[in-house]
Amino acid sequence: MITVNHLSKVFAPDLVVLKDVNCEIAKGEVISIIGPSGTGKSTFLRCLNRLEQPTSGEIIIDGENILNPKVDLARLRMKMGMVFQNFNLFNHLSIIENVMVGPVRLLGMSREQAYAQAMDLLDMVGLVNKANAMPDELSGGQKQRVAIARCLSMKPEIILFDEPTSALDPTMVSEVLSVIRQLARQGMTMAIVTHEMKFARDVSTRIFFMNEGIIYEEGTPVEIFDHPKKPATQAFINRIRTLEFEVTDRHYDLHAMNGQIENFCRKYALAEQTVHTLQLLIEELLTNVLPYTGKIHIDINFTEKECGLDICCIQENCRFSILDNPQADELSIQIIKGYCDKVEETADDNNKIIRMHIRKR
Amino acid sequence: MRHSIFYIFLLSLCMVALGSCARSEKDKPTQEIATSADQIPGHKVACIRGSLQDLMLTQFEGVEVVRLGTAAELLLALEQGTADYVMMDSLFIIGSRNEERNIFCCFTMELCSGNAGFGFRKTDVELCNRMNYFMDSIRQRGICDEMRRRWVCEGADKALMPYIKRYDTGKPIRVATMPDVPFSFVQNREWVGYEMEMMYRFGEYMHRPIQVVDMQFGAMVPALNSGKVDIIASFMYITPERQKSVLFSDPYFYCTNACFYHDNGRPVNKGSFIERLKRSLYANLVEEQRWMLLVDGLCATLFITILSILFGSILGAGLCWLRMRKGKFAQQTARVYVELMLGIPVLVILMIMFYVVFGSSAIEPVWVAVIAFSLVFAAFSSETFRTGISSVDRGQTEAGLAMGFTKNQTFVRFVMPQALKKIIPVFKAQAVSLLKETSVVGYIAIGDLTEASDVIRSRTFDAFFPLILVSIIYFILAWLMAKGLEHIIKDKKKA
Repeated sequence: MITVNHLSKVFAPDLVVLKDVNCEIAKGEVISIIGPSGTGKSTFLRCLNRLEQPTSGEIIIDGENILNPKVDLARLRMKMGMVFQNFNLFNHLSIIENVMVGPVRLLGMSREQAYAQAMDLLDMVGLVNKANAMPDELSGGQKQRVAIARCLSMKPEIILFDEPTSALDPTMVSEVLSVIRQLARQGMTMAIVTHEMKFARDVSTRIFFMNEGIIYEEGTPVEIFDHPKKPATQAFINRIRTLEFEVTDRHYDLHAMNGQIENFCRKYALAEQTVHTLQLLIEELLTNVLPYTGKIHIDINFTEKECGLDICCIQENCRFSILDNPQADELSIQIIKGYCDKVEETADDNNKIIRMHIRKR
Repeated sequence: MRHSIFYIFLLSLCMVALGSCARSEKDKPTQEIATSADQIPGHKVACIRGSLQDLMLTQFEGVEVVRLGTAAELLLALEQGTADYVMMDSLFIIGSRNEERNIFCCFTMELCSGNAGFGFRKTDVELCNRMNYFMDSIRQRGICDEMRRRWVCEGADKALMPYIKRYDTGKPIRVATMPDVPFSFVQNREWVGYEMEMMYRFGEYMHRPIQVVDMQFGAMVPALNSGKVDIIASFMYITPERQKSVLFSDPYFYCTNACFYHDNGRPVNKGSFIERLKRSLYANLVEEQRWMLLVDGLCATLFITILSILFGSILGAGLCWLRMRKGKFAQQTARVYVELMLGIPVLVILMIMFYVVFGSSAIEPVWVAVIAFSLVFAAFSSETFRTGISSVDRGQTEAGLAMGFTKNQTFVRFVMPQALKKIIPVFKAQAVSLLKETSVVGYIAIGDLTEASDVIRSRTFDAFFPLILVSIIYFILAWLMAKGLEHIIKDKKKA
């Protein structure tokens, strides 16, 4: 139904959002598009109905390349519904009018017919009793359900969902998801950009994992969620969070670094104890242990699933062992070893790598 | 609704009361009356701006010169003590029933007297020669003496304009003047007086229609030289200074200058408040059908306001469209235009339009005003439209587009109705302020509401009543306009 070849979107010379996207969506498929923020998931979706103008590539829908300037965009868009993150109901029209305006104005349906259809659709999303309300009177979840009904009123062949639950209170997410699930059961073709992993796994026929402007890995929900092949996919699926530093000399900003560590830990609800341990560990490393033979990279990884912290420290241009160095501060190394559950040193070309692991207590 | 009308009534009453209070006598010590020009230094002396008296007074050391626009204002300045003396031609005393007002002449100045002549363009020698020839002929036939008797000696108020044949076809001769009894003033909505009779007789002689243009004295010479008028007939003294830029006809009137004062020691029987109000009402509205002047003025004001709002909104929508387009050049052009218009006073734009842009074309001043105000209103309204449209969330457009509506359909169906809600209150305020701003059109010789009150004032020498009346009319107009716009919007919402 939809074939995408070498699609790219460049906002500015230094802002390449989509590099080279290739995919195929068949009729009846439910595709979930997942991936870290800022990797072009929404942009990709918006390129499909040309709300965003792609820079190059081709999108072929039913044998027609929609990037052809001569294409009748309005007709094309009628076949592709879209549900937005911010609902975008027409604020000056009542709920029923929102659901009727498309069929009456674009499909040439009579008002009676459109009204009957709109009531059916509102019944389906459970909002018949709100038919005469204005959008402002509805909760976020209700608005999004109306938006779905409005989308269905045009009888689209595919619906594009652009993070349909991201702007909702957690309590309202499920009511919207259950409507989408219902559509999936009815065999509606859908492409859903979402951060709801469990939902994506349950409802999809295929998952696109997007990273760095391409579809990095795709597969069935089982393939992607249980056996991800590529490291970035693994990191994302296992919900690994990373904090990185780079230090070039001894005059680094210790306070800024401590602040960052504190924020990072607070974000993932780590214990106060862990924050102090981490700060102490990094300070010992940087002040007393590392020889500053070149640049120093420090990665702090937090794996949500295992609740563990991995610290990886790379010292460039170091030919001798750091931990076994007789000139090193013996006490500091003891402190580090005491705090970590595991400390190991490896070498890679000219660099020395120290890996430390702390289990969450 | 009923409440609002009640408030308007109350407000009107307050203003009238205020006016009559302000008119009540102030206690002022009786002054020594000057008997010669040597005694006026140290005093405030009022005169017409740009007149010969103005020039003369400036040469006196120690005189504080108060420059005013019309004879009526001079009179009020005397009555209210803004000026101690008024320097004017000695005929000033004739038209204004000065005896009733306790205004007297204290001395005349033969030295600074002069001859008044009609002013022509330097290049218009032909017309000037015809005028001189014409004046010679009527002087010989004794018509001049008759005119002098009629207007100057027997009192202008009772005088009636004799029948003079008027021509409708042919190129009109445009005559600049300003109300100054007994030379030119409005009686029963007609321009009459010594100068006006002379002009109409000249029109008869030339077989051409006469078109009287009422303007400020100071604006006459520029208007003459830019071709807006053909003759100045406003008791302009022939001076070497003026002869540099104006071609004068032979003198038609010799007049001495005189100094006037207000005797505030003499008691005046003013009557009760109601009586005074009645008298003011009669003098300012009923007598000589002066209310018709206000009606004419009202029509001009409404004509200019409504057309300017209409054209300005259309032009503003265009500007707004240009500014919201992607093209950099169109955007910048529109932006520069808007900023220019917002940065220049309306009056200045109006004058530039009248004297510079349409300086040599024969376009009616009313249309010049419509054009100028439309241009200004376009700038204001385009900004309002733009902010209104940008305030509508981009998502609304996207939702419309994604459903399959075209760009234009999306704009008309979804963006515009929501933008209008934001635009209307601001637009309403701008429309009302435009109505008020049109009060400056008197500067380019349009008889609007404000100008009508000026004309009445120049005849009745009553400052307060016409001004307060006009302010009440403006207030009611503004209120009606705001209500009307609200009404239109409500209807739209229902539809």
